Amino acid sequence: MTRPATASAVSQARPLPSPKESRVLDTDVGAIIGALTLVVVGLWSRHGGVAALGDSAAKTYTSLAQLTGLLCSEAGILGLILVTRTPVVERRYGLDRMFNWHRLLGEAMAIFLALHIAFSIAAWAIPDGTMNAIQSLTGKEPYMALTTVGSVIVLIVTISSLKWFRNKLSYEMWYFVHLTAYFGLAASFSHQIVLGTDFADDALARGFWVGIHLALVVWLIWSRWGRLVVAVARPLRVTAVTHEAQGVTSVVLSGTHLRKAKALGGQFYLVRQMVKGRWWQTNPFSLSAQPTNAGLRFTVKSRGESSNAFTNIALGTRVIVEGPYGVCTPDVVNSEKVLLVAGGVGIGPVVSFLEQLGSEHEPIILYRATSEKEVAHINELEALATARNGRVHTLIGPRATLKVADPFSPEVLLKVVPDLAQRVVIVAGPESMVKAVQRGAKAAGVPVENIHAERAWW
Amino acid sequence: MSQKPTLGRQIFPAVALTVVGVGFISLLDNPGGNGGVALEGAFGATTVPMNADTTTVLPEVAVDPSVVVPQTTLAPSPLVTVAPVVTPAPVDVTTTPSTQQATSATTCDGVAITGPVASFRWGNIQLRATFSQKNVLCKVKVLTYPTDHQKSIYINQNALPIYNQEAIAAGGANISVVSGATESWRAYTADLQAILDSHPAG
Repeated sequence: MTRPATASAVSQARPLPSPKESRVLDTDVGAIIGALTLVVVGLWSRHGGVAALGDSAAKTYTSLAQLTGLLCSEAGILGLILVTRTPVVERRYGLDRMFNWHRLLGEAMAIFLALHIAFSIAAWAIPDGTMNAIQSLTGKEPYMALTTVGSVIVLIVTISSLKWFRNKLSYEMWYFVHLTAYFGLAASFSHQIVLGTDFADDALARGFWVGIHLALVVWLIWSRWGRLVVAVARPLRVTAVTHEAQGVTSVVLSGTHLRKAKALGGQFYLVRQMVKGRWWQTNPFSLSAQPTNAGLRFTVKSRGESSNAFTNIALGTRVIVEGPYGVCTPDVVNSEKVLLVAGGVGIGPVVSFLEQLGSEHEPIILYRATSEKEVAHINELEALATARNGRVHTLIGPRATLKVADPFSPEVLLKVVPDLAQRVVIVAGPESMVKAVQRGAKAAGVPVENIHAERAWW
Repeated sequence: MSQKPTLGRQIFPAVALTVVGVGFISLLDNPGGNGGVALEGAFGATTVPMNADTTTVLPEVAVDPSVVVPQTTLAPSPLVTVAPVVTPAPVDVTTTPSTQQATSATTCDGVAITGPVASFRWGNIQLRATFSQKNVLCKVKVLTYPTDHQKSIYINQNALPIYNQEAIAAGGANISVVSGATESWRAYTADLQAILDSHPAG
């Protein structure tokens, strides 16, 4: 791939090498999930779970309580594997999708938990009466008080993460509530081993269960704290802050540690500003220029308290980055021509992606912004496109002032890009725009596997 | 982009993990999996002392539960050896806590009641409780407990003497659970409660 000179401020430097390609297959993920489910359900069945179903009501409820409890744990285990952000998995699926699956698994876990509680109470209520059963299961039985606290925490965390609630909570509030989930899960582990007959009465099953939980804890500690320690040991510093447009700032981070880094255009980092009151939180920011050993450039729109602080960051501030993450990278393109669609601050990943394309891709860029004042990197974009036999189309103005109702309908797209069906489509921007482009491109005949989207991170 | 992975590469992890998973499951305990015949055989053996009068069964020593375990010739690794303990002796423990001893002089010469068979996931538990003249629970004898499985024998021989002791101390079925023997506890307390409910003096 040829790399013509670019307008980027850091173009003189050597581009970072690509992160290693992941060799994980969908079938591998399926095999792991399938095997875990097989063992969990098999364990339950082998201990008489299936046989108990047709039996007395108490046995049936006990058996169902055990099954739902085990499945609840399985969903929790899989959900925690996703938060390890393990590179081989991330490189294959992208952090964005992993977060989504994590959310779905969390919801599944809450449903299984509710069923588990209901079945357990039903089973214990048969000899003891409902009130006694609830009393036993919330305090009298060993470790059940702890487990009750844990379950309540897990349910609160899940509810606070439902989209409806999530939008009403500040990020900080949601984050700290979410952190308590670790305690919730740990608190409910004890009762599985002491009260759950599947593990209390079978040493092999108990060894397996304790083993995978211990392994998970080690894995989590390493992946969240170990990698953080590594990142802290390799800080970068702010070396340039440029006002790009209204509320849009580009920040360049540099440091000697970039010599060993690997990254591709279109990727993003979790960025932590080492500033009083901000060091504990990270923001995902997309690269807005080809990453080089001279520096990483991010283009940030002030949107929340934290990104706001980032646009006013002082030169020389220590910044810690974790990453890179993201799978919408130039290596998804072979030799096809490319259409890049940027919405708002999605221009950042599009510029960094474009910079790593060659003239054989004849890139066409559609740049959508709601106001002239918010347009950033436009000169850079034009220069990069021209150097690669490409062109830039801008579509600027609030939606109501546009000539067409849907700027990404297949008709409009085909008019602007007649050979659309032969192109690979890359789209970065707000979720609603990404969906509109995906819909339009699909209707215009682009195969689904040739449409790559990255939510804009800023 | 890498080339398409081979079919073998796609299938191998699934096959390997399935084999490992099935192998693991087959190593787990499988209560009741040996069929009902073995179960009945075990019950037949343990019901022998049930017909015998309480007073004729074995010398009644006030045994600490920890003493009971060595009495039974259990192999230390219950998963491996199967042969030695086919029909274990019923747990026969008469525990008389010192406090009780002082107050009620413990002459177990009142009514003796045999409870119903309480069946649960790992087998059956049946108790025989003896009361003093003042209708105070003073002795609990386990007539039947799950024996179709080495693990069950091990767990119950550990837990049942403790339950006996607790029941006498509490004078009823309100006893706490021994970890690892929850289901036995539920069957035990249910059976003891049934005995107490059927006691003529209420």
